[in-house]
Amino acid sequence: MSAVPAMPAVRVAEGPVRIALVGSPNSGKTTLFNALTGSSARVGNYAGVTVERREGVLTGSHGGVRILDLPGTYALDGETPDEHVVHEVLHGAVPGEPIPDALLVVADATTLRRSLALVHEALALGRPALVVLTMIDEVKARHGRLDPLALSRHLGVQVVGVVGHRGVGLDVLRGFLDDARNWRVARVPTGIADAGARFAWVDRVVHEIGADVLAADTRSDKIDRLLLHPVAGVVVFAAVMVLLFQSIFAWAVPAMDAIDTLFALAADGVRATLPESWLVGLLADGVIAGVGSVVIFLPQILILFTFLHLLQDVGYMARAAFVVDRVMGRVGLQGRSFVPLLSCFACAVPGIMATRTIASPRERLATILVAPFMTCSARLPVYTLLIAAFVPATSVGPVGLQGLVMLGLYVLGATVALTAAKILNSTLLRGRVSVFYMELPPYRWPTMRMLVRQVGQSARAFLRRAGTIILAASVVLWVLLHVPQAAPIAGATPAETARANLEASVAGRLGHAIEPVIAPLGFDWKVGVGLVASLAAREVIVSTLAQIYAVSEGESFRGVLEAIQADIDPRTGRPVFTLPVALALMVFFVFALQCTSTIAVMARETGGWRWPAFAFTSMLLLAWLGSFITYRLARFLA
Amino acid sequence: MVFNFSETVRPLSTLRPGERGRIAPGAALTGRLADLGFVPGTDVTVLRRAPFGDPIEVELRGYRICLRESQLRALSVTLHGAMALATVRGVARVADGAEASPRATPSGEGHVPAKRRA
Repeated sequence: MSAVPAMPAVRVAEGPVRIALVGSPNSGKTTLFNALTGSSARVGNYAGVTVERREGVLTGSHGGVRILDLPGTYALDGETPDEHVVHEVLHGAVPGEPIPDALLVVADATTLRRSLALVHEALALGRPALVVLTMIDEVKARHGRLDPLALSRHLGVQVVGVVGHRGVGLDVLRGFLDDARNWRVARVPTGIADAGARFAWVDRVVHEIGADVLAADTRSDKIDRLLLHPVAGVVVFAAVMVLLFQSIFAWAVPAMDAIDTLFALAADGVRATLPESWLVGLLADGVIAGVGSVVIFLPQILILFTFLHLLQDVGYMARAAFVVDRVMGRVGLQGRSFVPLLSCFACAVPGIMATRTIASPRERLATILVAPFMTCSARLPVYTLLIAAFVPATSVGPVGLQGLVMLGLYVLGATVALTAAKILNSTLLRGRVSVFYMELPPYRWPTMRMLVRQVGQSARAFLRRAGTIILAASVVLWVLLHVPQAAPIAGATPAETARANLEASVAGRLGHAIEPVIAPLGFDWKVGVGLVASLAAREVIVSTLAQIYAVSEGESFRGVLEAIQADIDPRTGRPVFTLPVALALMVFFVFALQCTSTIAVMARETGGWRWPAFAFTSMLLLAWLGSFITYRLARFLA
Repeated sequence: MVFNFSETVRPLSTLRPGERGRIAPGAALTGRLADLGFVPGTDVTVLRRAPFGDPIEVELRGYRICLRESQLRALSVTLHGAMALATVRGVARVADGAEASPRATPSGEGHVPAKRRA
């Protein structure tokens, strides 16, 4: 008997205390988590599922107190992946995830008659626990009365009131957190079978502590009368969305130009200082240009996320979703899908990241899968080039034809996205769990500190991706475009040598190899090389065409434009590029998923490579089909 | 045979903004709506519809939540006779007094004093 090595209790006491945060959505749980853990939070995923796992260390505890922020849930036996994870973690059923030592149960003090039900469920687990009441300032503002001590007497555990975003009550809470191992186990009735009995208990407790009457939040009511008005509400919604759309294009441009210049300077610097070799090429054209082509989206992403977090913090995001839900519901999406899809006009990567606000698993997946159809800014250089080169600068009535074609491409992308959502919902995604509920939080002034932290987190996540996956893809692509080299030609200009090298490279051969497949679309091998290169990122096709047409550096856009206009097929004596070819190529870009970053973020957000593989393949097939129809139709009409 | 004119049972989705009903016996005691507090005997007020008609924001248990019309169709509520009649005739709503709406209470004065159990 003395062979038993150690008492379990002793072993547990040696490591850090692990506290799990339990609470409903909108309970202020995440605000509290951020306030307690500062910048130590680590965001990851639970193995095999798309549920976000957030853990951090209590600031000042020197690693002694670890806090796990569980997904928001209204009950502990729910059906969504989020709710399932909460249940599994609390019962120690997740491999590699030790059962929490104690529970920090978070409840919104203004919704006590609902949130105490979850508090009861959590406390009835019989683990050491502490209850945090958030937003106690609102209770006072709404002439309510709440005595944490009285509630504490009913529950048998400590109850602490806080105002998370202002830091009120956090010092008291920290004091308790250091001592989590000594928290009490609640004295609440067990054996409550259903929600009816549970809410009866809640009503009794709330009545007995005298906390059951709260005046309406008149300020939010007044604002809502305008912002959710049948007419004014729609006008405001449209105005906010136009402003958001405008900001990511107009305001980001100067910064994007600056970044572009900066990376070009860096590449030139590398070329100027190091002796010429393949390594310099890899560094300048592969690594620096590749990463630069992604970092250039950082200004858009910063503006976008500042906007999104601001709308979220003041409470308008939920209203926007409320206004537009009916429309999105028609294609099987939810109001919450709208803003992520709108964000995809900048870049699908932050758009897909923003789908985390969609609580319903089915609608979230549908939104992620159709997001790449939205016209992102990487398609713009391609469209701009082809429209400028082949669409006549005439007018249809008062509207320019070139602008009209551009608008048509945007409309086509959005229409395809919504149609695809509708089809996916009635086929592949049919039968997946779908839930709908939405709360309109009280309007609040945003706090700068929170905003800066949230935007910083999003920007870091984006840059980390650029630093890893994009970097790797850029290097691989550079090698494909440069290996092997052609035999040197005597007297050739550097541009001609570059062209010969490109044609001899793996990518050049791939371009030739796929020519039979793309010939029905009107594309020759040169477009083929461009398409192969654009699999990394769409806008790469412009610089690749510049290389193919041996355009000297520094004038790539105008040079390519003139080169593709003048290109004659030696076999037929006719121009290679015509309006039908240009239209077919643009339609190809509307449909195809040519973006390694999007594929990578899709894999991350859907928990595996299955869905990105499906999206890539099906979108490629659609692109071929769409281009084929466009090419044939345009030739027939012309 | 006695007809009960004082109460009418209707799906919650048919209530107009401002109308209040009490969830009828027989509503599910498990599932998402139950977890949200939609259990028999709970008073629910319809607050507003979204500009395009759906979803609907309701108030119950002193909090508010938005659900789609299709979800509220599954919940039957009883409209108290006086309220239902008042709505039909367009006269001022008669408070039923059983449980004052939190919205109707101008300040904290109306609350029931806390009782302590021995």
